[in-house]
Amino acid sequence: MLTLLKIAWRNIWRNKLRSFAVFASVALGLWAGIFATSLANGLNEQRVSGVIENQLAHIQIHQNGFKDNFEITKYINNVRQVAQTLQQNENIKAYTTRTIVSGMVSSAATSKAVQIKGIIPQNEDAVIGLKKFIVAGEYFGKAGRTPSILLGKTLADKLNVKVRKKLILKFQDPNNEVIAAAFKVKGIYKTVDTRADEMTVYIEQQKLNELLGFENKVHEIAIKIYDLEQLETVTPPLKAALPNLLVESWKEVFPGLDTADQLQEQTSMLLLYIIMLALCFGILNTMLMVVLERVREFGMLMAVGMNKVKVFFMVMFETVFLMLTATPVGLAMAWLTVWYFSKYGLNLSGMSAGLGSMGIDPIIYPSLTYDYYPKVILLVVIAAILSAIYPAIRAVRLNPAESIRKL
Amino acid sequence: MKEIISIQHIEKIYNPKKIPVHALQGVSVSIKQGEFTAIVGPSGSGKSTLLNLIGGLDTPTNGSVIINDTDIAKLTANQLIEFRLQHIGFVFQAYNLIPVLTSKENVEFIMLMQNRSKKEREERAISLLKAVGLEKEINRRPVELSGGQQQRVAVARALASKPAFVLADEPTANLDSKSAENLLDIMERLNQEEGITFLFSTHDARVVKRARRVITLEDGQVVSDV
Repeated sequence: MLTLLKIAWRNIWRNKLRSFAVFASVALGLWAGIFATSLANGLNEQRVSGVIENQLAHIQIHQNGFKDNFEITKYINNVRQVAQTLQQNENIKAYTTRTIVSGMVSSAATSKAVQIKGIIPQNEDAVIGLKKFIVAGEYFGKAGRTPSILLGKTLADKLNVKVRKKLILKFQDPNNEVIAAAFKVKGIYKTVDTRADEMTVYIEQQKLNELLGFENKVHEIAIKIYDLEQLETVTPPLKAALPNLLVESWKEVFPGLDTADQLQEQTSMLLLYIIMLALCFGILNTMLMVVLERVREFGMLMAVGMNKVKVFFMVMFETVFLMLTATPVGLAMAWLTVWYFSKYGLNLSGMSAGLGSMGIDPIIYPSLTYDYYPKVILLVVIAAILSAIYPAIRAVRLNPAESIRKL
Repeated sequence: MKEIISIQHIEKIYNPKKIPVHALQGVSVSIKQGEFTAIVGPSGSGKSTLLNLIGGLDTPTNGSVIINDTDIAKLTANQLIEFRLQHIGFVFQAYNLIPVLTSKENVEFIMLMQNRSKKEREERAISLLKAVGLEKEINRRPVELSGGQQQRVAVARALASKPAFVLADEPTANLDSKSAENLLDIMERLNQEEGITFLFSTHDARVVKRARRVITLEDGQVVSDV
C-alpha cells in the first residue's frame, strides 16, 4: 500500500502544468467558497445583530394583543411590578420601557406617517445604544420649553428639517381624541437600517405619557441580557414569572430574522456544495485524461500482475492527493482573507444605499467559525473520491493485452 | 528438460458473432525449460495473439494452454492476474517501465506485489540490475536512461518474480543495433548460465539468428518449427 501511495504521489508531479492548473482551481474554488460563505455569514450576523442590538433588543414584553394592531389601550399597566421582576433577574443587563403610538409628523414641507416611541433616554441608550447613532445635534439632554424629538436622517431629509427646527406630531389618545404637539428636533440619528430610520421618531416617555394621560403604563419593555447565547435559558423563566404578559425572545418577535439566519447557514453550505460539484467535474475530466494518457502503463501493470483493486486504488490515491495537496493552500488563503477582513472590514460603501435598506452596515466583517474548516476538508475528500470513481473504473476495465500496445 | 508450456489445438477467433477473424487455427506448441525460442511471422500471422495466450493476457476460443501443469484457459480473471505475477515475466517492445520509479524500484515493484521481504527485494533487485549491467543506474528513473538501458531494466524486472519463463514481445524493435546486440547478449547469457527460458515474438533477424528454436506462423498456423 505504501508503494501505491508513493507511486500515486509521484504521479501527480508528472505533468506539473496540469497538476498546477488543478491545484489552482481547487485552491481558488475553496478560497472563493469559504470567503463567500464567511462574507454571507458576516453580512447576516451584522444584519441580525443590527436588528437585535439596535431595534428589537433581546427580549420584549407586551400586553397580549398589542402587537396585533398596536392598539393604544393594550398597555402594560403594572410597570413597577414588572420592573421589580426584571431587576431581580441576574441575567438581565438592562431594560427600557417604551410607549408607542402611531401618528403623523409634519414639517413646513410635508407630513409622514411614523411610529412615535416614548422612551427613557438613558435606559434606551443602555439597551439599544441609540446615542451612538446621532449624526447631528444631540441625544436629548436638557429639555427646553419645547420638548425634544429625535428623528432618522432619511426622515429628516424627506421632511426637509434640520436640528432645532420645529415639527408637529399628531396622534390619537386612548379616547380617540386627536392630539397635536410641537417638538424641536434635538438630534438626527442614522442607524444601518434606513427603512426603520424613516419610520421611527423618539420623544421622551414622560412627555408622551403626559399627552396620552398615561401613568405607570407603557406598551413595550425591551430587555438586554448579558449573554445572547443564554437567550433560550433566560426567556422561559421570565415567561413563567410574568404569565399575564407576552414575553418573547427576539426569535419570536421577529421569526423571519431567525429563519433567515438558518437559511443563510444552509445557503452557505449549498454554495460550497455547488463549488465542490464544479470542482468534481474538473477533477473527473483531469483524471480521465490521466487514465487515457497512461493506458499502456495501466495495461503493463495489470499484465505483470497488479490486481484490479490496486489499480483502482492507485487512481483513487492520485485523485485524493491531487485535491488534498491544494486544499491546505485554499484553506490558508481563505483563513487569511477571512481573518484580515474580519479584523479590518470589507468596505462596500459603494452599495451602502442598497445595504442600508436591508438594515446592513456597508462595512462587512466576514465571519466563520472554526468548525466550518473540517467540514470543508471532509467535503474535499468526498469530492475527490466521487470524482475518482469513474476514471478508476475506466482504468481497471482496460484490457492489458490491448493496452500495452497502445501508442 | 521439463515441458513448461504446452499449447494444444488452440483456436482464437475475434468477433465470433459478427465478422469472425481467425487469428489462430489449431496451433499446438510445446516449450521446454531452458529454451531460447523465437516466434516469427509476418504481421497478422498471429504472433502477438499466441504470445497473449501464453502470457495469460487473453483466453483461447478453443484448446488449452497448459503452463506448469495448470490450464490457464480455465482460470478466472483474478486467478490469471495472480498466475502471471507468480509464473510469467514480461518484456515489452516499448519497455513499459513505471516512469516515476527508479530502476531499482521498478525491479522491486514486482516482488513487492509478491509480498517478498524488503531485504530480499533490495538484494535481488540490485543483483538483477548488476546482471544486466546497470549497477550504476539503480537510482535513475526511466527518463534518465537510454532505450537500451530501459529495456535491460525491463529484463531485470521480468526476472525479479523468478518466473517459469520470460515472454518478450519484439524486445529489440525500438533499439539501435548496438543496444539490441547488447540486450541479446544479456538474455542469451541468462539463458545459458541461469537456465532461464525465453520466448520471443520478433521480426528482428538478429534475434532469429540467436534463437535456438524458431517457430514460424502464417495465417494463424505453424508453418515451421526448427
